[in-house]
Amino acid sequence: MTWADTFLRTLKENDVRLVTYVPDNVLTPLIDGAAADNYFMSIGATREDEAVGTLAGAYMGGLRGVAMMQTSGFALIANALASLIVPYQIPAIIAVSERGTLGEFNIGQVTVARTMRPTLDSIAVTHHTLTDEATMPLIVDKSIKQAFTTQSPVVFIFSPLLTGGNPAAAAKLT
Amino acid sequence: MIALEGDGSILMALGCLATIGMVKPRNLTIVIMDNGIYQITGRQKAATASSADIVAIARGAGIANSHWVRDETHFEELVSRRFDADGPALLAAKIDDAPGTAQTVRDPPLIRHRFMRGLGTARRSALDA
Repeated sequence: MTWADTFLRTLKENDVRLVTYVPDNVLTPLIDGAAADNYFMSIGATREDEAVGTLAGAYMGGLRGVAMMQTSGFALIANALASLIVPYQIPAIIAVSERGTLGEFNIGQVTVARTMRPTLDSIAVTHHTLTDEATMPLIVDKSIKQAFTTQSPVVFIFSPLLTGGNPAAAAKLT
Repeated sequence: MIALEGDGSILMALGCLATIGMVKPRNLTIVIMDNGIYQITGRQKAATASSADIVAIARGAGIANSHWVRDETHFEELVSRRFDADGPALLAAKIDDAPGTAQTVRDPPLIRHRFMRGLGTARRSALDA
């Protein structure tokens, strides 16, 4: 079973049915896997803060959801987190593929990636970096349960150690 | 579901109209109150005051059932349609540019909890008795 299958299975086990996303190369197995499975309601958003806002509305309507994006897209959601998710105590589940490290070719991705963990730490949003398939099921399952129990968001950062990184990157590195 | 929005607010998030036009939630009515200015920040003009047409933008985004509201009677007629009738609707109304007369209580968890209680989705406990 791949990391993507494991993540989707854990979402199902926790009744997380809504998947909002902005397309990303690394997360393609997750996005395609969710779209191909009738269990999930899959919605492509135009921006990452729209994907997060949709989760907030769904949660208030009784539907659990996850938003998927890449690192540079995460840089768009600071305001949605700080003015909506955190103060309104919305248990948003957010999956971010980690660009900008371990073989990145795009200097913009490198710089924006450095803002991700400090941003989350500054607003006290829990985040876990997923690096291997052995520890991933426990981290994801327990963290989703903790998020809904404590009305708090959680961010999963998918490391290239887990995903293999951007498949298009290798050819662009010198 | 009725979503209430302002013109400045929707101009910041026009992409969501494309998503709504794609997903086509049948029970959604969006009401845009268009005063043409950013009233709360000092009455600066918005693009809606001169050039941007929210209804045309919404139609272009795939929300075919989008209308400018002519007056209160027209609004009553448009908003009383069956919610599950024919896909999402957007109703935009030019309103006056006077400042708001009341302030929402600034207590986010309370606002969320009351909203969820109204929908029947809130947690229940002995505290609700």
